[in-house]
Amino acid sequence: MDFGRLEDPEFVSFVSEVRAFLGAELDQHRLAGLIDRRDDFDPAFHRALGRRGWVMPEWPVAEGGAGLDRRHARALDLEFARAAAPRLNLSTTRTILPAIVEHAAPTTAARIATEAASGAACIAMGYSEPEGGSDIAAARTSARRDGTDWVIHGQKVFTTGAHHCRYIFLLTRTAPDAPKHAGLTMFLVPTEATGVHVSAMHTLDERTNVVTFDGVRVPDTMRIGSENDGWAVLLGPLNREHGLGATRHVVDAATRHSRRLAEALEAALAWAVTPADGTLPADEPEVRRVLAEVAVDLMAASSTWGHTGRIASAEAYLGRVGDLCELVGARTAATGHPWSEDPAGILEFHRRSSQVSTLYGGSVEVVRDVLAHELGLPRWNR
Amino acid sequence: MTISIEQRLQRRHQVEVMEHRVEDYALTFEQESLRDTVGRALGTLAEGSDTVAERSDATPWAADMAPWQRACAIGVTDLSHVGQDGALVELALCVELMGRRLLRVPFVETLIGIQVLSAIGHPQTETLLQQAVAGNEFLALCPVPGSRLVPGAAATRFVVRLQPGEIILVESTEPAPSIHNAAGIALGTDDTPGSRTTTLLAGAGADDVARSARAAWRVLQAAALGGAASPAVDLALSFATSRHTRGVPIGSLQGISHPLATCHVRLASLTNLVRRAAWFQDHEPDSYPELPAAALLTALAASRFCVETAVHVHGGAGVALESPVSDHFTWVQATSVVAGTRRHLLDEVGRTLLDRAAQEGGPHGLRTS
Repeated sequence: MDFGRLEDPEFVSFVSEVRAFLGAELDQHRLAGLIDRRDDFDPAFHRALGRRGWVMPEWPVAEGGAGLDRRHARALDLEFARAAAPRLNLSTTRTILPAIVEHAAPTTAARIATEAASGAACIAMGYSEPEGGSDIAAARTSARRDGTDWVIHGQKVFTTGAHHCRYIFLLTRTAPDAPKHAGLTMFLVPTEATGVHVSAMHTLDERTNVVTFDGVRVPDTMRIGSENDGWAVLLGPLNREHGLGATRHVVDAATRHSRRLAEALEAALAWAVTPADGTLPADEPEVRRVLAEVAVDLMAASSTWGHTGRIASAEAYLGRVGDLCELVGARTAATGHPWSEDPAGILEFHRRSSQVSTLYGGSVEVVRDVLAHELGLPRWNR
Repeated sequence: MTISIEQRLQRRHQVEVMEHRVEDYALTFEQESLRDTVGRALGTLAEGSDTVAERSDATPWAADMAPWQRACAIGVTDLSHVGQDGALVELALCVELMGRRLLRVPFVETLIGIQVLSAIGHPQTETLLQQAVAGNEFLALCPVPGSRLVPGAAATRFVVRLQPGEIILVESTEPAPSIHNAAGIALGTDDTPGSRTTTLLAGAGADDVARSARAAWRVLQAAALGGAASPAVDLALSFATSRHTRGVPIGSLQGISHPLATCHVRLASLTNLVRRAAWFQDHEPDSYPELPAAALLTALAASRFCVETAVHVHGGAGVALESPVSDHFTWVQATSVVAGTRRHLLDEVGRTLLDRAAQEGGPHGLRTS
């Protein structure tokens, strides 16, 4: 057990290096444009990351990474969070790429690994469908063999960042008559391919996409893993996204939600200690009570990860940001963003952003089903 | 108006989750071994299980003397001695097991009392301290002045009082009158007959000892509550698997399984937050002084949710006094309300956060590091 500060000279120097990089590569004007478009991705910044090996920081230098250990990779991620650096398709690429390397044909794997680790190409998640919700294994998008190619028809939703990505990691159904999880196959589909149509879809806090696949032809070399073994291939990226494993993963959802709630709490604390109209909000017992409740929830939620952390942090984030907005009041009605100078603007952004936290990557109800099964409870017999 | 990149990069954060820290909750081999040994001594692990002595109505806690003394014999009370640097983590592990066992004796109060007496080292308490460490004498604790109810006072003649500017030992001719409670834990009134009062320490030093004792008391109470709630959830999981309705196990229904999954989430958070709070108290007590109160607040809410859910899942069988799950309910019910008042704990956490924000935050929570 250890929660000590990381302060050895080498580590401190690394953090300084990351901060210097962020200071040099993040451009205030480009960020302002992203804020206006609610688009959390900056291609120029992403390419700069690739040059440093920081797209896949834990990969060896010879393979396009930076050879960082888990501790340094987490530090990198925390500094990005502190800076609110745009990194949407950094997360998706990092989550997916190991599955490509493990399951794709060797030449495909080598080529995609080089493109993605260098920052030249990003990969979007093509899992959810209009009819499927959190039950992604119910995918209907079809892939049918045609000679040495596959022909794909269907539609995906919430394909976030697809308009910036060179590839979509696509979940398809290849054996319609097989049991739900047994008839799935994964592909890496180029977004440039004929028949791929990416259109914008705007959510409460970001731009995402609807992608249609209209007779899209991809060679068999872009199949990732064996035919009808797609669920096993997809489990790696899903588990990384959900932060499963013995230790907290670098980019798991629970960490992300907790940090966002921390940002909102800090904004509310800043509001509370700033005098307004001759009074100080911090002097009111109700203000202290609400801030304390949020802080306690944050401390509890951020103490766990994996499935438990996902539920605790998403529900704390969603439940508590609303409390903070109600505490601060009318100013949180005005549209804000993570870079707002007014703490109320930061809270307004988190109010919208937190609503997706209990859904993104699968609803918390699905996670509770999984947890209940792990606890030994029988599955619902449908 | 936006914050500049430089401002974002240079600001200092108010919460630990945004700091560069090791985040290692794993127990060491020694900690695992300690937990194993103490578990056997208490009878929470299979090999050490013993027959619980008959509980008397007057002193129901007396039936738990044997497991308590076995725990003392293997050195649990030694961990409370000041000089045992960094032992709150280990104590919390032991206390969690005592909570699982639903011990009715005042184990947290005695452990904190030992911490206080050994920190002060008053010559008059030397024998008492030895007796407490040996498991022959309990200590009651009155952590806040003015309390009418003293945890542990019905089981001992000795009450340690933490008051502003002084720490007092109250010695009576006999234990305080017992306050009857459904759990059968040793609660007493403060009307101790024939009491003799000794000021053990006064001034700023007394406040320092009291602050540290209060923090440790909160962490240990949180650990004990988590320990008491956890087996209740296990009982409910087992019941939900074997009990059927309309041809299916009730645990296959989301109305049952989801609250039980939530219990698991809340206990996982609590277990780890207790470890974090204990570690900080051992190593950096001044960095985030709100952690012990936060751990206790989390424990109050989580343990209550868990025992209420566990009893509810059992249906009518859960509310029967013969049901094991109702023991967990009553223990948590009695212990959680003596552990601290939610509104006071929240106000203290709020003040701590706001003081730090005011000192370090500056305009818009920004300050160069």
